[in-house]
Amino acid sequence: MGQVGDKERELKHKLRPRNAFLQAEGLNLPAACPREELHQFLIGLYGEYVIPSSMHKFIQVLRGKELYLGQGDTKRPLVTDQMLRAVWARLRDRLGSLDSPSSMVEVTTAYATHFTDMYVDKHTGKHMTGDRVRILLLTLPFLLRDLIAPEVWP
Amino acid sequence: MSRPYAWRPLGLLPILKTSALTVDNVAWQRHRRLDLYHRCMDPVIAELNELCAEDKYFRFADKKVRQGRCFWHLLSMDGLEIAATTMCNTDNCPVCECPKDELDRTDFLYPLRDSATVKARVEAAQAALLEPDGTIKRNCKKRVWRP
Repeated sequence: MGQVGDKERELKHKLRPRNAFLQAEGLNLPAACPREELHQFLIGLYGEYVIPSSMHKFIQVLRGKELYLGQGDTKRPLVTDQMLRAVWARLRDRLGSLDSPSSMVEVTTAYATHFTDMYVDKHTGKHMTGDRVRILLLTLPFLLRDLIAPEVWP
Repeated sequence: MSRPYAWRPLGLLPILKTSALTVDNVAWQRHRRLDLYHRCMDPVIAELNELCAEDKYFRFADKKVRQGRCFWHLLSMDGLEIAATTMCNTDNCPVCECPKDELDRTDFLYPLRDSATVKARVEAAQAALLEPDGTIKRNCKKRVWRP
């Protein structure tokens, strides 16, 4: 790294090209650009940390030590992979059934499938925008309950 | 303001697609895109400066005309756009002086950066290290030894 690179690192500002916004009268540029909630909070904290850790907690409980049948080589989980899959399918269906008259947000089936692809199947090529993660932030606390028990419709 | 007037586009910025570039050097392309963005913003900022320079009469949503002064104090952008605008890398805080390796410290408040100081320091560094045309001065290209 040369002198320019070192100076840029020290100033936290590139020297080339000329920054047009530094010519703005009355604008305090650094203060006008807070790292917004979109990436740090919604996508970073909630999308990448809270949701996967919530799902991990579910799996931890459903695959708890006391929920195994048999002994030794014949030991198998009470909640089978198929049952676990049904849990996430139920979550997906609940998510996909949200509509604006009842929930104030509209979620399409494609979005719900996208959610499953990302968080259940761990598809690395799929991502969510901040606004999409915001929908999960609003709705998941209500959807992530009673996933094992039979669905009760009023 | 009523809805149709809530947004007023001031400029449409061109996107320099990779397929439109003849130079395949990634660093050059990054610099070219950044330069294009800032040079496109030059006339927009000049007009905003003019707009904010004096009081004007505005018709508000309640139909009353009031004398007021325009000002801008917030730029609504995502992380990459903020990096392009502040010319500060995405892994650094553009708002305060917190160094990169102390970003996890929540027990200490670092001094806030301000436009005038950043501008003065950047211009001083540009004068010291760059030619007037923006190229690096010949004697400033050498590598810096680090222990």
